[in-house]
Amino acid sequence: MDVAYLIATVVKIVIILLVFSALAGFGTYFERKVLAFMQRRLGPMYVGPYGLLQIAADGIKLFTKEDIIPANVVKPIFKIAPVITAATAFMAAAAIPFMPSFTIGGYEVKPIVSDINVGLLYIFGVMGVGLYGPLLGGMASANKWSIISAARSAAVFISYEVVTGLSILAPVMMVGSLSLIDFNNWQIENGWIVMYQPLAFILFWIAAFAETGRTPFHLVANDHEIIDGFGTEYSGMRWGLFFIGEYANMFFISFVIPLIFLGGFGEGTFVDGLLFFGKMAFFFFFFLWTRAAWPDVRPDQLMWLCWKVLMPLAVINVVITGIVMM
Amino acid sequence: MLEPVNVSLESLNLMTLAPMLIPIVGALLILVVDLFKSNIDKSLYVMLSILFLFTDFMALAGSSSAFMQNGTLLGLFDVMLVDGLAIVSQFIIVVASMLFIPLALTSKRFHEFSYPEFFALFLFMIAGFQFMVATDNLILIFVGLETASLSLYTLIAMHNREKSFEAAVKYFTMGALAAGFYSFGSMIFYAVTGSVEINQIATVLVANGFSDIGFVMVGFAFILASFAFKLSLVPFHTWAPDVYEGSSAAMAGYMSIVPKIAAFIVAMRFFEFLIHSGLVWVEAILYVFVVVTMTAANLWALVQTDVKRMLAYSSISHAGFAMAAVMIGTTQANTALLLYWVLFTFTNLGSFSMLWISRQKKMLPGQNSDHSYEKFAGLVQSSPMAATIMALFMLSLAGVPPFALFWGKMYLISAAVTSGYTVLALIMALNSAIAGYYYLKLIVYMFMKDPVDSRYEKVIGSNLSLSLKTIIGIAAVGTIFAFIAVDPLLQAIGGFVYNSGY
Amino acid sequence: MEHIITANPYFGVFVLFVLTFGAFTATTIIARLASRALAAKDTEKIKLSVYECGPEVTKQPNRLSPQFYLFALLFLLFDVEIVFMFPWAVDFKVLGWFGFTEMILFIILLAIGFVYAWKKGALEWHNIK
Repeated sequence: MDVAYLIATVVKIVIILLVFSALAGFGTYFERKVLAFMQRRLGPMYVGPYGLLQIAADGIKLFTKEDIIPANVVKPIFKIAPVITAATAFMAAAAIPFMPSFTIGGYEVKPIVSDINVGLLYIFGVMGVGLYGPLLGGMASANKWSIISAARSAAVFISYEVVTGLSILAPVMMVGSLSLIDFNNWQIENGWIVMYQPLAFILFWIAAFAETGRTPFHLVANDHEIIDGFGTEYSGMRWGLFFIGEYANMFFISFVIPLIFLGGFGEGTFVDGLLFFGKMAFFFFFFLWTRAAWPDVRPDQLMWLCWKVLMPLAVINVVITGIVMM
Repeated sequence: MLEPVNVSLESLNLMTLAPMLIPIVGALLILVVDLFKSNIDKSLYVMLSILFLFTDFMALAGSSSAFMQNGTLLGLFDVMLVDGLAIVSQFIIVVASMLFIPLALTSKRFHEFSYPEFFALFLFMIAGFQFMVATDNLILIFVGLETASLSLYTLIAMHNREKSFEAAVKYFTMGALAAGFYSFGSMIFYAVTGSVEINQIATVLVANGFSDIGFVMVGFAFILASFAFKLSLVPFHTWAPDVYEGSSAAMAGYMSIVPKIAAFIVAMRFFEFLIHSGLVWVEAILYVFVVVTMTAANLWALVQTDVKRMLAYSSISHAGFAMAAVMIGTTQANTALLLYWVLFTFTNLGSFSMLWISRQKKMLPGQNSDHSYEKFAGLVQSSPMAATIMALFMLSLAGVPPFALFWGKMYLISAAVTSGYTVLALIMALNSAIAGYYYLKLIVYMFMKDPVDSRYEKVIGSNLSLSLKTIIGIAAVGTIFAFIAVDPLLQAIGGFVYNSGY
Repeated sequence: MEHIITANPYFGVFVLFVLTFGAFTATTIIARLASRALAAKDTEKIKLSVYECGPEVTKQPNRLSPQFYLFALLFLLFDVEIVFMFPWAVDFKVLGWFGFTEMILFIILLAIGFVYAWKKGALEWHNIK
C-alpha cells in the first residue's frame, strides 16, 4: 500500500467526519428555520445573526448538561447504543462518492473513502446495523416507552429494508454493478435511471423516509404517544449522538438517491458538481418539507404500506425489468 | 464482460430431482387449497398426501429402473447423486410415510390434524429427507436436514399438549446445536480439502495420506456428534425419550424410523471412506459408540414404567444395533442395515400404532403417564385380538423367530461374524437377550396379570378406526410373513448397494 | 469518475470504523467530564428512576408484543430472498435465460409464501387466524 493512498484516505475520513458532524448541526438549524417559515414563524432569531449561532449554543448546552444514567438501566449497553447509531451512520459514508474528482497541486483527489465493488450493499448493510442503536438503547433503558420504541424501530427498519433492497435491484440489474461510481458512469452514457425506473425511484424514496425514521414514519419517537421513544432516558451528549446519527443518515441518503437515480455528478465538470449538490439539497429539503406537511402514520398503516403495497410492487418491478431486458 | 452462461436442459438431468419435487408441489398445493377453501375435512388432505407420496413412489421406481440400466446418476451440476443407497432409502422413507399418514384418520379429533399445515409440513419434511439421502454434497445435506428437522419440530409441537411443546422446544434447541456441529464439521473438512462433496473429500484426503490428521479428527468429532444426535446414540440420546413421550404415538413411531434411516445413509456415505482408509481410532470410537448405545439403552429400558418410554429406549438400542453395520462397513453389513430397517419399519410402526389406538384425551385419576404398563394389564381378557397383535410386535422387536426383526438381526450378526467382529457379534446377541426381558414384561402384563382398573378397558381401542385397523393389519402381515419376503428383499437391496459401491 | 485502483479497497472502511467509534466514544467521555465539572447536580432519588409522570416506579418488564416477532420472521424470509437476488442482479446479463428462469421460480415460491402469510393475517396487526 503506497503512502500517498494511505494519507489521502485518512485525510478524507477526517474531513468527512468534521464536515458531516458540522452539517448535522446545521441540519437542525435548517430544519427549525424551514418548519418555522412553513408555519409562519421566524424560528431561532436571538443567538447571533438570524439565529445562526443557535447551533453553538445547543452544542454547549448538550456538553454541559448533567449526564444522567438512570438507576435501572443496563449500563454498558445503555452507554454504547448512541455511539453505535452515530458511528454506523458515518461509516455508511465510506462507499459514497461525494463529488467529482478534482486536482490539488497536481494530485488527483477522488472524493470517495474506499472504492469497494459492493458499495450499495455495504451502505445498506451498515445502515442496517444502525438499527442496533435504537434497539439496544431502548431495550437497555428499562422503560416501557423505550421498549415500545425499540420494537417499533426494529419492525420499521427491517420491513423497509426489504423494500429498499428490492427497489434497488432493478437499477442494479441494468447497471450490472453495485459500485456507485459505476452507476454514475452508466448514467453518463444512457441517461438518468429514473427515466427507466420511475417506480423503483419512488419506492426507494419512500423507503428512505422509513430508513432514516423521519416523518411521516417517525413513529419510533412519536412525542405524543411514547414520549421520546428510545431517547426518553437519555440526556446530554448521549442523546445528541442519536441526533447526529439521524441527521447524518439523512444527508447520506440525500447523496445516494441522486447518485443512483438522477445522474449523480455526471461528467464531473464544475457545473455538474454544483447541480449534484443542488439535487442533494433538494432531497434534504424534501425531508423537512414532508415533516411540515404530513401527519405521522400509525404503525399498522406503516406495515400495511410496506408489506401489502410497496413490497409486491417492488417484486413486480424486478420481474418486469427482467422480462424487458431479456 | 463475462461470456453469457448457457446451460442445456439435458445436462441438468432434472429426472434426479423429480422424487423430491413431487412432495414439495403436493405441499404447496395443500397450502393453496386451504387458502381458497378453508375448513375442508382432513380426509381430503390425507388422500392428497397419499396421492403425492404414491406419485413420488412411482418416480422412485422410474429412477430405480434408470439406475439398473445406467448405474449411478448425477444431476443438477453434479449435486444430486442417485445411487442404490439413495433409491433404497427413499423407498423406505416414502413407504413408511405412506403407512404413517392414514394414522391421522382417527375416530377422535386431534388438534394437529385440523390444520392443513400439518400435511404440508409433513410433505416438506419428506422432501427434506429425500434431499439428504440423494446427494453427497455437504451443503445440500445440511439444507435437507434443516428442512426436515424444522418441519419435524413443528409437527411435534402441533400435538398441542404441554408435554409436546416441551418436547418440541427441547428437540429444537438440541437439534440446533447438532446442526451447528454439523456445519462446523463440514467447514473443517472444506477447509482441509477445498471441497464439499464427500467423494472428493475422500479423494483428497486419501491422496495426501491424511496429513492434516488433527483437522480431520476435529471435523470427524463434530460430524459424529451431529449424527449421533440425529441417530440418538448414547450419550447424545437424552432428547429421545422425552420427545417420544411428548409427541403423539404415531409421530413417535415415525420419528424412530424415517429421520434415522436418512441419517444412517449420510453416516454411511461419510464414515465409509474414513473406516476403509485404515484409521484405527475412527473404528475404535464408533465401536465404543455402538456398544455403549446398545447396552446402556437396554439397561435404561428395563426400568421404565411407561410403554412409550420403553419403546423409545428400545429404538435407541436398535439404532445402536444398526450403527454397528455402518462401523463394519462391508457391502454385506450395509445391505443388512437396510434390510434391518425395512423390517424394523413394519414392526415399530405397528407397535407405536397400537399405542396410538389407546390414546386418551385426559388421564384417568391416579394415572401418571399416558401408556403405563398398568394400562395394558390383563388386556387379553378385554380384547384378545389387540393383546395378540401387540404381543406379536413385541416378539418381533425382541427378535424371536420367525418374526420380522429376527431376520434383520440374524443377517446383521452374521455380517459382523464374517468381517471378523466376533466379540461385537457376541455383544449384539447378548443385548438381544437383555432386550427380550422388557418386551416380554409387557406380554406378561397383558396375558398373565389381571386388569388393574376396569376403566382402562374403554380407553384401549377408543381411538380405533378403519384406517388404523388397516395400517395395523399391514404392519402385522409384514411382521408375520417377513420370512417369505426376506430373501428377495435381500437380493434386491444387495444389488442396489453393491452397484453403488458401498 | 474513474475507479481507484488499489489492492486494499477496504482500508478506508477499516480506518473509518476505528475513527468513528473512537471519536464518538471520546465525545461521550468528554461530555461526561464536562458535565461533571460544569453541570448543576441534583441527586434527588426520583430523578434517577425510570421516566414516568410522577410516581416512583419499579423496574418494568421487558416484554414485547409477539406481533413483532412475526415481522422478524417475515423479514428473515424476504431479506434472505434479497440476499440471493443481489448477486443474480449484478450478473443478470451473464446468467441469461437460465438464471432468469431460476429466479422467477424462486420468486414464485416466495410469492406463494407471501400470499399464505397475507391470507392468514400475518401482515395485519394483532389479527392472526
